[in-house]
This record gives sequence, structure tokens and C-alpha cells, in this order.
Amino acid sequence: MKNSVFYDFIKGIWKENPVLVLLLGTCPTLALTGSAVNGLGMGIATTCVLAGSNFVISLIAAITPKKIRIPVYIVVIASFVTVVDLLLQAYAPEALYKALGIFIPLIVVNCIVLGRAEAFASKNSPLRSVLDGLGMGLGFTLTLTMLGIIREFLTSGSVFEIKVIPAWTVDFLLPGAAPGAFIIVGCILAVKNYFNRRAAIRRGTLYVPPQGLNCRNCGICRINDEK
Amino acid sequence: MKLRDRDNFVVLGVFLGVTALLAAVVLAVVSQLTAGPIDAATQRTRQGAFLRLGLPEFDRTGDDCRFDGCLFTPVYKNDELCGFVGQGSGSGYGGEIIVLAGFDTSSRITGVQILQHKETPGLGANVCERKFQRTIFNLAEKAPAVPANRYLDQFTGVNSADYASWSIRKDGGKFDYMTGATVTSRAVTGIVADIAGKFKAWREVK
Repeated sequence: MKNSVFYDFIKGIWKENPVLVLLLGTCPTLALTGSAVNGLGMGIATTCVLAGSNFVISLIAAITPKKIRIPVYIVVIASFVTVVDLLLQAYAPEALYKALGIFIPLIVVNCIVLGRAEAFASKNSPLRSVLDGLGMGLGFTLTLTMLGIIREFLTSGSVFEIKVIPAWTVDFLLPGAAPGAFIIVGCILAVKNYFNRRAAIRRGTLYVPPQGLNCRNCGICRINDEK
Repeated sequence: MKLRDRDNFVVLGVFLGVTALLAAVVLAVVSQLTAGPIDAATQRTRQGAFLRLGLPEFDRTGDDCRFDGCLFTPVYKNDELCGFVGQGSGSGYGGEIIVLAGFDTSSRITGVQILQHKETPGLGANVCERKFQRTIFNLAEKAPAVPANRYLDQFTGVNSADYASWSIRKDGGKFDYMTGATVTSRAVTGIVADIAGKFKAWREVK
């Protein structure tokens, strides 16, 4: 199960969720989830870039010298994002670009993309890397959308820009601003950890994070050992 | 120092250089290829906004005319002049705001639209965006082509000749501002006043 292709896809959704477990990509998570539509848009845009950059990087990983792989990956990711941005601007329908356009340049600085390139794509086959990208992207999208729904509802009583409580006329600004995002993400993490811990106690074990999250898996510290 | 050594700094430098060069070539090609379509798309967006300025019905737009930092475009119906669109910009709270204002032939403002802004969502953005509020009770209703915005609609019907009192109430003017978004309100009022003033001057020159 753990080494199957299916697991590469499914792990990003919950077991190794980029936001809730890996705690990567916190900047877009806090900044762009003021409304459910924004969260969904950022999630979809990131998923596309993540799958694409994972594919390219798994192809070039073998010929990239170890010492300069990070700058090379950043160049690849940044070019990829810019190309997607230009293509969307030129050929996508106006409404789509209006909804997604502001998120695209922000993806370059999203550390999930670089994190997956480094931790997964550079060590695995193109197919598995694309699946990993899609799964991680889906987990990111789901988390961002959920956060967006919660924050939008607490701000203005609406969901996906539809007012559920029409009497709610004055916005409550705290959940919609960055400090509120911190508080809500913190609460979600606390709830998630509570359930993880309870499940672990029931099994009679300690909660162990997935092996792939071990800091040493990143490999930066081991460059000199490999010679 | 052997050149075959993969950790040789010359090899590393050349590899990184080649990667950057390849990326630059790809970007240059894509940028060249998409420049035309992007221009067309931007122009389409702008033309689309023209239709929501409350102008009298028109079938043709004239040539853009740059005047003192603003852009004026006459619109025609059956080759008869029936209004103007003025475009101006200025800085708001979060960056540049680009405003379009429609004028009829007697220099009255027919409507104001914000073409681009980067104001704070929930505060400044409320000044700039025309958004139809959907609730669970009007889900099936069709959104109006130009949703109302209490702030932007104040300018409708104002004559551009009446230039003296163009500021928000806080600054002694006659326009309401949105609580919590004074900076944005002030900026938008300033830009509309700027367009109106330049429009007046432009018409006198012409």
C-alpha cells in the first residue's frame, strides 16, 4: 500500500497534507483564504503548476549537479509559472483570468512547489511525481477551500459569495484579516492533533509523523557525505 | 581541479548559466507569441467596461486621445458623437487605481467604473467593486449588468464643469466616503475629479 502509485496520489490529501501536516505554503494559506472562491482559485492554480513542475524536475533531476539543484529548480518553477501566467492572460476567457490571475505570480514563492520538487520529484519517476503533485495540490485545494469557507462565513455570513444569513449586514473583519487567519489555522491544527493523539492512544502507540517528513530526508545536510 | 569533476565550480557555473539561458529563451519566445493576444484581451476588457458606463447607446469607439495623463475616447452612434470615456489613474491604499468615467455630450458624468485596483478586500475593495449581493433568497435572480455601488453611483449625473467641490465630506467636499476606507474613497474621488477637470480642459482645447 505505502509504495503503490495510488498512495503517491492519496497521501497529500490527509496523511501528508501540505498545509496541515507539512505546514508548507503558509503564506498563501493565510493571505488568500479570505473567501472560499479565492481559496479554491489559488488551490487549482497551484495544483496545475505543481503537477507540471514536478514532471519537468523529475526529468532533469538525474543530470542536475547536486550542489546547484535548488537554483536550477527555482529557475524551472519560475519559468513554468510565468509561461502559465502569459498563456492564461492571452487565451483564457476574461472571467477565468480575472478569478485566477492574481494568484499565478504568487505561486513562485509557494514553498510547497519547491518542497515537493526537492523531497519527491527529484527522487522519483515522472509518473509518480505527477501523481504526487496532483495529490498534494488536491490536499492544498481542499484545505484552502475549507479555510476560505470558514473565514468567509465568520466575516460576512456568506459562503461562496452567497449570503446565508441575510441579516448579517456589517462585516466582522477579524476572521477575514491575517490575524484571524492565524487564529483559525491554529484552532484547526489543534483539533487535528487532538484527534491524531487520541487515535494513537487508542492504538496504544505514540503519534509518529510520516517518515517522509523527517528533516534528514531533504538531503541538504548530506551533500558532502555522498562523495 | 579536473573539468570532469561534477563539483568543479566552472562546470556548476556553466550548467546554471545554460539552464538560465534556456529558461530565458523559452520565456522570450512565449512572451513574443502572447504579446498580441494579451493586448487584444486587455483591449476587450476595456471595451467591455465601456458598455457598463451608462453611456447612450453607441456602435463605434473613436481613437484614444492622450491628454495630460488621462486618456479620452469619443464614442459614436451612426457616426454621430454621443459621448466620451475618460480614463485616469492614481494611487490608492494598496497600489494603482485605474478609473473609467463616461461623459455625455453635455459633459455630465453618466457612470464610473474601476478598471483595476489592489485595495484591501472587505474595506477599500468595497469602494471599487460593483458586486451584486447574492443571498439564499435571490439565488435564481439574474444579476444586473451594472450592480449598484453607493459610493461610485454618487458621481453619476454630476456635471464636470462643477469642479470646485470635488472632495469627500471629511475634506469639506460633497461626496460621501465609506467608513474604514477613507483613503480609497479620497483617492477615487480625486481620480474622478482629475478626469473631469482634464476632460473640461480637453474639450475647451478641441
